[in-house]
Amino acid sequence: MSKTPVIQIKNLVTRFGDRTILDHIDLDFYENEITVILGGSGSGKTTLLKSILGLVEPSEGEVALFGEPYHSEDESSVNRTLQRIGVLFQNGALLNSISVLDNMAIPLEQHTDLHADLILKMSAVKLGMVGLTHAAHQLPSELSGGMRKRAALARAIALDPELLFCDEPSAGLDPITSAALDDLILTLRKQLEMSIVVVTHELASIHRIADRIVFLSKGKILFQGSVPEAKTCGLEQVETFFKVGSF
Amino acid sequence: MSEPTAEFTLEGTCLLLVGALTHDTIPALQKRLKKIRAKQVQSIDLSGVMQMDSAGVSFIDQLMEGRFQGVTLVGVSDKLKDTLDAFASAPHPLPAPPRQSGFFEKIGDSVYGLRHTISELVLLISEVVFWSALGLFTRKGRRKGAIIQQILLIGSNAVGIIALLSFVLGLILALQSAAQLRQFGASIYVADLIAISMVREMGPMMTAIIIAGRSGSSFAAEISSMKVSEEVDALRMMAINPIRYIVVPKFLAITISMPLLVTLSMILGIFGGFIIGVTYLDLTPVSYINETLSILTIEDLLVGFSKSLFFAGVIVIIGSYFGFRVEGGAEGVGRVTTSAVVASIFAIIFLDAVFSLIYMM
Repeated sequence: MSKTPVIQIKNLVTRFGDRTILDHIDLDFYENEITVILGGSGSGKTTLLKSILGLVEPSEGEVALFGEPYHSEDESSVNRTLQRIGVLFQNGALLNSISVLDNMAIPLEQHTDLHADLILKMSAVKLGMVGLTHAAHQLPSELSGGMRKRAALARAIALDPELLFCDEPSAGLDPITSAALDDLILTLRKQLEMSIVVVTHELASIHRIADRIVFLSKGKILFQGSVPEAKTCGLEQVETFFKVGSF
Repeated sequence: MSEPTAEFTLEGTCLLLVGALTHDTIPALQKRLKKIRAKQVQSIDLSGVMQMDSAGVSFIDQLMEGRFQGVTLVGVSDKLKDTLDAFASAPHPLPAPPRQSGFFEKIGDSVYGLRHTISELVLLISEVVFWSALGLFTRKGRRKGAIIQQILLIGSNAVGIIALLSFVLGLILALQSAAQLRQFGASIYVADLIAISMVREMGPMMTAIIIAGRSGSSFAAEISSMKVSEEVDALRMMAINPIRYIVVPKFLAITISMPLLVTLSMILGIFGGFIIGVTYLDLTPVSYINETLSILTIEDLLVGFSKSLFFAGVIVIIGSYFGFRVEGGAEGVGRVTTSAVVASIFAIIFLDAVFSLIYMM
C-alpha cells in the first residue's frame, strides 16, 4: 500500500543573500511516520524546518501541506492549515507573561468553541502527559529549561495536530526526561495518528523514534531511509555520524 | 470532504453516541445533550464513535464525573480504550491556583519592597560613585572607548531633537507671555521671563526628560537584555564588575554630555523667545539681548547646571536599577524599560520641585 504524503517539497531553494542554505530539495514526509532530519551544524536542518513552516521565505520551489500549497496568499487557508499543525520550538517559545496553564489554553480558546471547563480539563491532561500538572500555575520564567520544553510540547499538541514539528526536542534535557519525551512522541503518533518531523542530533533519540531519517549536508539531501540502512549506506559522512555517536 | 459530526440517541437508558467526538463537534453536542435528564441515562455506548481526540476524552470524562456520574461506558473498542487511557484526565488533577494576597498583605509587601528597593538603590549609587571616582585614576575594568561611544550615543545623537524642542518651547513661552505683558506695556520683560525660565527650569528639565526617554530607556533595555542573556553573569565570572564595566561609562558620559546639552537647550530656548520678541513684539535685537544679559546671574547658571548634573545621575541610576532587576524574558525587558522611563520622568519632575523650593528659601 502506498503511503500518503502529508508534506511535499519540490525543488526548494532557500538563500540568505549570496549563500544558498537549501539547494534544490525534493522531499516527501508521510502520514503517521516519524521522520528525523539530521546533519552537521550549518547543514540547513532548521532552515528546512522553517522553510516548510513558512517562517523563512523560500527563494524557489513549492511546499504543499496536506496536499494544498502552503505558502499561499490566502491567509484563511494558511490559518486553517496551521490549526492542523503543532510546532515545538527549540527554546520553547512560551509566552512569558502568562502562566503555563494559560499558555496551554491559548490555541484551544482561539480555535475552538469548547467550554472553559473543558479547556481547563484538556489543558490539565496535556500538561499531565508531559508531567507538568504541578507547574500549571507557574510562569514559564519560573521553570527549568527542560520543563519549559515539555510545557511547549504540551502547548504544541493542545489541538491534537495531525502534523507535529519538533526542533531539537531533546537538546538540554537529561537522558531520562529525553527518553520520556521520546515515549510521549511515540504515544502521540499511535493515539492521534500524527505525522511527526523531528530535527535532532541525539542518537539515542533517533534510534528510539525514527521511522525514517533525512540526512542533510551543505543544503542537500545526502541520504534518506531507515536507521539500519543509514548505518550501511556506504556514505562516509552518514556512517561516521552513527559510528562516532555510538559507544 | 464532509465535516465530521457527532449525534446521540437515547435508547432506553442507554445514551448512544455516534460519529466523531472531536473539538469541532463537541460544543454543539454538549448543547444538545443538556436536554437529556441525568436520571434517564444509566450507560453511555461508544460503539458508534468512529473518531475521538483528546477533547472527546475530556468530554466523556466530564460527563462521567459530572452529570452522568456513576453511569457505565459500553461499546468501547480496543482503539477507543487506548485513546481514553492516553488522554484520561483522572491521573492529572490540577493543583489549586496560588492564593492571592489580601489587601493588608499587599500593603505589607509594598512596604518591604520599598525598603528593599531603597537599600538596593543606595548600594547601586554608592558603587557607581565609587567606581567612577576610581575610574579617574585607573583604566582597568573599563571597556576601551566606552565613554566616547556613550557620549556620542547620549549627547551627539540627541542634539537635533533637543535643539528643535527647546527652540519651539522658547517660542511658545514667549508667545503666551507676550500677549499678557503687551497689555501693560511690559513687552521687554518677555526677555527676562524666557531667560530665567529657560536657564533655571525649562532648559534642564526639558533636556532631562528627553534624555530619560531616549537614553534612560536604552540603558534599561540594554542592561536587562544583557542580564536575560546571562551576559552580566558572564562578566561576573570573568571577575569583571558589571556596574564598573556597564554603568560607569554611561554615568561618566552623561555627566559630561548633560551640561552641554542643557547649555544648547538654554541658548535655543532664549533664541526662540528672541524671535518672538523681535518679530511679534517689535523689540530691537540689541534691547532684547541686553535685557537677557542683565537679568541673568551666575547663580542662575549654577542652578541650571547643578540640576542638570543631578538629573543625569538620576537617569543613569534609575535606568540601571530597573535593568538589573529584570525578571523573565523579552516581556520582562519591555516592562523594566517602561518602568525606567516613567520612574525617571517622575523623579526628574519631583527633584525639580525640590530644587525650586530649596532655591526659594
